[in-house]
This record gives sequence, C-alpha cells and structure tokens, in this order.
Amino acid sequence: MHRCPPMEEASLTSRERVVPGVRLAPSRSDAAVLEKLVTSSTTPAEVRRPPHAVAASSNLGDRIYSALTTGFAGLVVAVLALLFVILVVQSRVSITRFGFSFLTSSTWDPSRNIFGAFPAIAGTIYTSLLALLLAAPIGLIVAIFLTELAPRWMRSTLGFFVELLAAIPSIVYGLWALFVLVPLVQQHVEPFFIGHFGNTALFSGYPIGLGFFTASIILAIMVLPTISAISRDVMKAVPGTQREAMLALGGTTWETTWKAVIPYARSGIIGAILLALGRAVGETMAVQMVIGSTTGAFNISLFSTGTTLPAQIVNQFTEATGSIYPAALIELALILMIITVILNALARLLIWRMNRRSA
Amino acid sequence: MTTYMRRKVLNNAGYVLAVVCVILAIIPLGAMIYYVLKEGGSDLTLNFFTQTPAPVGESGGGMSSQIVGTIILIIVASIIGLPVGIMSGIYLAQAIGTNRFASTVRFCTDVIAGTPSIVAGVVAYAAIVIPFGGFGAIPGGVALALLMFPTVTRATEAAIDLVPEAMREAGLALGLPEWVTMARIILPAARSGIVTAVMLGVARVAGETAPLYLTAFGNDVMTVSLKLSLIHI
Repeated sequence: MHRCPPMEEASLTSRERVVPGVRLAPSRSDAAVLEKLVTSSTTPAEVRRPPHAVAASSNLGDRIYSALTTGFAGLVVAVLALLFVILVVQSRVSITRFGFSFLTSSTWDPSRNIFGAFPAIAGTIYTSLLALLLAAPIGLIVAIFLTELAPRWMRSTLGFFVELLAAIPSIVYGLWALFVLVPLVQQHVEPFFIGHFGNTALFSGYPIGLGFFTASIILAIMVLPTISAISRDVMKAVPGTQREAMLALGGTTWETTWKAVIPYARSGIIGAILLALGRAVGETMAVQMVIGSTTGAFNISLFSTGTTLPAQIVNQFTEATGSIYPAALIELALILMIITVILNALARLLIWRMNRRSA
Repeated sequence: MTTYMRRKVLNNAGYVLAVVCVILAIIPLGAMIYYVLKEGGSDLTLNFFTQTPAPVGESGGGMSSQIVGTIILIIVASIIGLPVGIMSGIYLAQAIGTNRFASTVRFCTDVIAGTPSIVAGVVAYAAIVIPFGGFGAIPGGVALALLMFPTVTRATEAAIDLVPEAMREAGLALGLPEWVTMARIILPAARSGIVTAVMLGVARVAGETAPLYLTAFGNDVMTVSLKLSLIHI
C-alpha cells in the first residue's frame, strides 16, 4: 500500500480558512471513513461522517437538543435576511429619491440634500485594485517560499510572523500609516514622481502624502496575510505526486512550483485573491486615516485624495441629521455589502472547486 | 549560456526573489511593532491603567475607562455572540452531509463572516439605536457579536469534526441519548478546540473600531452601566 507522507498537525486557523461545506457523497464506505479519521489528525473538509438522524428520537432531551441547535442555526439565516432587510428599509428614502443616479452622480452636498456615490465607489475599486496589484504577487511568492522553498524548520515560524500581520488591529495600521508612512511618502516618494512625471494624469497633484497611493500601500500590507495564508493552504493540498513527477522529469525547484503546483492550485489562488479583494473593499479605519476623505469628484491621479465607501460612511455618520442624509449613508453601506457578498461568493466558489478537484 | 545553466540561474534567482518578498512582507510588521513600542512604551506606567483621561490640555491621566469599556463591550458581545456561534457550530458539525438547511446555514455564516465591520455597525445602529434611542454597550455589543459569531461557528464546527466518530458511536452503543453523548463525550473531547474558537472570535472583535464609532461612542468618564455611552479604545 502506498505509504502516505506524515500529515501535518491540524491547526484550527488553517481549518478555518478551508471552506467547510464540501462533503463527500455518503457512498464512501464507513470503514474507509473511520480509518481515515483515526489515522490522520487532519480531517480535511472532504472527509465526512456517515449520515445519522438526530431529531427523530423519542427522548425528550434529544428533542430539546435538536430544537435548540436547529433554532440557533435558523437564527443565523434569519440574521442574514434581517441584515439586508434593515439596510434596504432604512435607505428606502434615499433609494426612492435618487434611484439609479445615486450610483453615477458625483455631487455630495448635505446642505442641499443631494447625494451621489460615484466618487466613493470609484475610490473603493481603485484603492482595492491597486492594493491587490501590490499584494497578490508578493503574497503568492511568500506562500511559495513557505510551502516549497524554505527549509522545514523555518516554515512554521515564518508563517507565524506573516500571519501575525493579520492580527494587528486596523486602527493600529491606520495610526502607523498616518505617522510613519504618510511623511515618508510625502517627503521622498511623491516629490520624485511629481517632479518627473507630474504632467501625466496618473501622477499629477501636490505632495501631501495622503491619497490613493498611501491608502493602497497600507491596504496591500493588510491583505497580504490573507493571500499568503489561503494560497499556502491550497498549495499544500496539491498532491505530492505532481511535484514528484516533475522532479523525476528533471525539473528544478522553481520549475516544479510554476509548472506543476501553481497550475493545479490556480483556481484556489484566484479565490484567495478575490477573498483578499473582499477584505480590502470593506476596510475602514486604516484607509479612512490616510485617504484624505474629500468628497469631490473622483480624480484618477495616484496622489490625489479621495474617499472610499467605508471611509465615507464612518466619517459622516455621526453628523448625519435629517432623514435623507442618514438614508444616503445607509445606502452606501448597502452598496458596500452587495459588493462584498458578490466577491466573497465568487471567491468561495473558486476555492471550493479547487478543494473538490484535489480530493 | 547553455539551457542547463539558464535553468539553474533562474532557479537561484527565483529563490532570491522569494527571500526578498518575504523580507518585504515582514518589514511592515517589524516597523509597526517598533514604532508602537518606541512611541508608546514610555507611557505604560501604572497611571495608565488606573486613571481616567485628564481633561483636554492637561498632561497625566490614564486610559482606565477605555480599558474597562473595551472589556465590557467584549463581554456583552460574547454573551450575545458565543451561544449563537457555538450552537450553530454544533448543529453544522452533526448535520447530515446532504441536508439542504445545513448548507444554507453554512452559506449564510460565510456571508456574514465577510461583512465589512462598518456595515455591521450601520446595521446595529439601524436595528437598535433608531428604534430604542440610546447609544451604549448594547448596540455596540450587538455589532461586535455580528462580527464575532461566524468565526466562532466555523472554528467550533472544525473542532467537533476533529473528534473521531468512534467516540460518538461508543456513546450511542452504550445506550446514551444523542444529547448526552454530545454534552458528555464529544464536547469535552473538543474542549480545547472550542476554547480556541472562542479566543479567535474575541480576537476578531477586540480590535474593531468602526462599528463602535456608530454605536458606542461616548464619554471618557468611567461608567460601568450598560445604558450609558462608553468609549472604546
């Protein structure tokens, strides 16, 4: 029988990232399932227990237990539905007032009660895409290093440090960016680019340090651990036979990675990137501190200030009076939620497909 | 250069590139920790933990009310979020694989897990502050619970899945009802995993600012009451 390589210890954080929800059809024999459960300490999402019934029991305790757990689970579904209902109901005034032009208009005038979300939406997409442009290659290469290239003794410690980046609260990122990154960009980066390329649309503006550029950098730092961690998981899930076959054919380590492992894990990696995009879109505090929070029209220059959906909401929510102003802000939250849900659903679909394929 | 040499050079260059990227990734972490320690380390006196903030313009004072506020908010969020999270985790762990409802619950958990924190704050504001009037720890706790419970659910499900099926079957073979096997055999076996799940959930919300901006912002005075506004660190 083919001897499996020793499995690595299950860590809850890595399990948490693998999307639960992929279950084998119950046609696998119970013995095979039990053997796999007993011999490995990692139960990947593919291994499932044989089916059994809980609720159809004559025991009162069982019925209470079943009702309790099902009730709380149903509460989850209800909470999600309620979430959307609340957002739509509270922003109804704004939706009926502005309709579709809310998404395309650039006027944000609280004094005249005219609101338009286009600068916020454009700013959100712009900063998130830029952040991904920076973070995806670096995160992917860090993941490659951690799974393929690093010596074994280094892998877990280094992985721990990279994931520590994810544990830092976003407000700490924001404060550090404000006090360290903004002066750095203002004094060294922006004068150079504005001096040499200042007449192009992309680099025009004044060196204030705040703006899309700094916001993208701090967002990139924040989403890098997400990309790195999920890519690590999907690359670990690639069967060892792929690597061994490539090495047997005489490939170097780098070639093995790029030609055998990455194509296999491709959809999972794209899922990781989409998930990171979803996180970047919703990031509030760090971005709000360095983006300048101006409500004027969207300017494509890297060094201009702007706003994002979360930053716009958090800046103005506490001052919003009347009925249209808060409704407009809640409509911004609704747009943000829809964007995030779509991105997350796409991401999980891709990661799920990747896990399914490697089963 | 022969093909062989080229491939070798490429391999080594790739290795160097990987090391450079890892260093690039670790530099911000080191810079942040260094900066926070350098700027704030000198202020970590006993006063910092025991005194309330001084009025604007005066020096001295501490952050004790903020620390207490943080703790209160975490407790309120846990009271609301942990039962939902752990119970749903138990449900998902023991649901049949083809159960449509379980798949729906799992999907909903994942969707709520991806909610931006500001949206959770807006929803808590709209759900509690608008109808009932007051800011404070309760809407803040609700917003944090919304962010906390999907993490707890997923991690609890993972923890219970790690317990071998043989233990459950042994309990049933002894004639124990399902709920006793779960409560007396499986949950104690999964105990460390569930504690990890709770810690992950708390860690997720302990650093959150944005939702509390809208729901629990308030004063610097030391308050323990749930109804009055609190300020979060």
